[in-house]
Amino acid sequence: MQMPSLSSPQVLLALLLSFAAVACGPPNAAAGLADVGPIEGPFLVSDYFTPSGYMGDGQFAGRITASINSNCKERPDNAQGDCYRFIYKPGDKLWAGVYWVYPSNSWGAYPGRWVSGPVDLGNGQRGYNSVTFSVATDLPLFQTDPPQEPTSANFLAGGIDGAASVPPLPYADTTCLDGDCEPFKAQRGATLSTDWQTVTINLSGKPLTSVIGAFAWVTSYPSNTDPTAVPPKVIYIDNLVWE
Amino acid sequence: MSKLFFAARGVCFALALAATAVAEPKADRGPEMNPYECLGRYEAATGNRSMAQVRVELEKRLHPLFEPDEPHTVRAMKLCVVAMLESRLGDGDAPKHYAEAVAEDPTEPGYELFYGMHFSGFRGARGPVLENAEDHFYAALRKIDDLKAAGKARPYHDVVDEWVHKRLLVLYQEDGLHLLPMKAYPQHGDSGLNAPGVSVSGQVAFSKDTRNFFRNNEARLFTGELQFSQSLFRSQGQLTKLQIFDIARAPIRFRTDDTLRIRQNAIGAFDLTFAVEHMTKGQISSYYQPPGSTWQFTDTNVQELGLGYQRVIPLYPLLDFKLAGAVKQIDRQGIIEFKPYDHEKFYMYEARPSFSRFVGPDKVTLDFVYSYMNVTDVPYGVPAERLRSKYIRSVNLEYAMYSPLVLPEFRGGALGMHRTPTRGWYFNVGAADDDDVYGTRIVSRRDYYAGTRFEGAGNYDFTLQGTYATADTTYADANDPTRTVHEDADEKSSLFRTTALIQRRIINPDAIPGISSPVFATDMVNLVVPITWDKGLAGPHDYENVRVGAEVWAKFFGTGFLGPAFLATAGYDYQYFYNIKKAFNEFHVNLRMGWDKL
Repeated sequence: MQMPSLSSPQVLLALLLSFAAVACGPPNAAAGLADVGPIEGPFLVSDYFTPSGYMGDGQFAGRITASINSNCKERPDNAQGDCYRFIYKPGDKLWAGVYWVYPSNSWGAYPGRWVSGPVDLGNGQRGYNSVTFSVATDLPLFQTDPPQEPTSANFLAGGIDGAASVPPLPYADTTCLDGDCEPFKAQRGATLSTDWQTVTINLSGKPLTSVIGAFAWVTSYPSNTDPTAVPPKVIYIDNLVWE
Repeated sequence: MSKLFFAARGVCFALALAATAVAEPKADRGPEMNPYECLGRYEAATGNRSMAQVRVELEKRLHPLFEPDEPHTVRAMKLCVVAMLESRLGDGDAPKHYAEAVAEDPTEPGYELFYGMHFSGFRGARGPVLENAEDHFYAALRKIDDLKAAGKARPYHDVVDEWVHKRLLVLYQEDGLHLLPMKAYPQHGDSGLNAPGVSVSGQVAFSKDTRNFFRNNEARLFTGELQFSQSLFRSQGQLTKLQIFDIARAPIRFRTDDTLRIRQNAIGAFDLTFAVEHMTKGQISSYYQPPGSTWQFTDTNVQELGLGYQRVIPLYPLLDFKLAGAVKQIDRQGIIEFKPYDHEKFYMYEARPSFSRFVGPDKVTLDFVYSYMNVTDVPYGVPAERLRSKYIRSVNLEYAMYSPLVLPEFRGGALGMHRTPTRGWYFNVGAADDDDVYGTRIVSRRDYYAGTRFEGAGNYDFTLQGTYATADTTYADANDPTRTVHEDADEKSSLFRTTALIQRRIINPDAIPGISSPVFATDMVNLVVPITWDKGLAGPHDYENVRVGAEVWAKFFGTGFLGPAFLATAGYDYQYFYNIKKAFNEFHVNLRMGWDKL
């Protein structure tokens, strides 16, 4: 007897569903991009930049533990964006830090995120006034039992320089005024306490069109420290805004 | 499909000869017939014949099918032979004629046995049509009990009884250990037919191997890790020789799988599954490695808790359809770069539809796999970069040629071309796609393969397969308002894998139609020699390798303790990555009681 044709509705349905399922693959790499083109005006750093640039001891697994939107300190009034807690357990380098970068994990391999700041600098150039954020730690400022140095840290905006990488990478954070370009890097230090303090990094007068490293913190231990004998440092970051 | 009959030839001839000696009249229905005469007549009509000649034999028996005034038992015998021939030729009328044979001689259990064997040995997509086979095997057991009660059972009914039990052992071999007595070996009567089957199965696997338990392509994996580490995202440039050398690794792996299965004939099988997997020092925890240092490998742990369902849905005479699906909750630790102690908890959804259909005596099977892992998104960064997921999709088309082939063979000391029955010559082509989504970057691994497996009439099988394997990474840039997707040329590679496999059947399951032992029945022992060669085509060639090994596969039935099937495998492989001059001695052992997909 010859077989009937494969036109039965059940068979066709089953086959079609199977082919449809197999055809249903991952989304296009661009499908998740809701916000494309330059960032216009002030922005929350956590909306556009990823804290993926682990430095110093941080490049070794387990040295920096990051909690994002969990384990946060009670947030400052009207805080926006993500809140962060970082715990740094020192290793041989005795320093570590984390960069918020675009695209994630980039040290200058790709162009930064295009920006168009709220400040008109003339000649069609635009910039930002500052980066502001709240920062705190777990350790009292003056701990005497046992005696402990206060936690201090340095905070940066910009500063990624692909040319300094080995091998060199093509892109860097730069600021260009009337065609003259120079590395863009702004920073300031702070000594942290258990209370929130608002820190501002001044960006005024720097025309910017793109940013790779929007923000970073770096902290260190004294050079003669035995990394196994000191407690980890805890750093809370919140309300991180370019404006 | 022809395996069962092929191996049982000697037995059935003897039984068929005995048939005439016990032919006695059955009340009102004609002389008593030994059902094995059906098998004997089938063998006589198919032995050393081409499929065209077998069809001629079938046509001769169909026209006319019966003589005038032929007794019912004789008609049953003729219908049975016709059904077997149709089964061999892939004709859709086979079940109809089996059913008519049963109707003509409703007390004879042998025809129920053969009817059940049609569903368990011939039909089915990637597995027997279990529910239909069960109907007839249990009917056979009930009829044997009835004959015994009436004092009408013959010696050959003991053979039918043994064959039915063996078929049920094989039918339930994936279930493991049946806990309720109705479906546990030895089954009595048909009480097990509609009773729910509750069974447990388990697997323990242990290995020291470059490949994981799902036999991933390790050359592609190592190449991908090398490229990612050297990529601009990790800024490593050229890795040192030591770092390249150390990427190739064969960690200790351990996995257990446990399943509680509830099966009911009309509904299908529901599985509650639990799996634990551990890998020791096998995962790279950071792809940043300054020159002078080497990789930190960390442990990984995976737990899976799942609910699955499967059933064969016969849509014959069009085709057989097997539906299998599962939902699993996965807890995974050690996979995330920089966070080797973080757990990811997510769901995986999987569907595996299969279709099969006879094309004359040959069989075409089409398999699909669709698997989606809704991997935990990272809780920070640009929303588009938080996305994490994994998709696995594959399609495989197999053509199984069961026709006898004219092959060179030594007979009487002379080499000649002879028509030779085989256990099947299989040809398959397929493609598999494995995509990992990391925000706006997608890593895609694809396999395109074609192969053939020849299962000879003797004790040797041969497999040869070629696989073209690729890896690509695509990404998108939020700066680009056109949302153009770019290909990352630094993370692109391809290779060709040649796989050859020689299998020697030391104990052939088809040669044991009955049960070989009342306590621990050995059913199969195979020696397998697998050989693979990975040759790089594009991208780094560091992990080209050759691998050769030896494996023993053994199957047993616990006939002394409810009849679970055991499958034990043990193997050793020597693998040499000749471009980096690194060799591995690898082993794997695996003990299964019941199993799902292998």
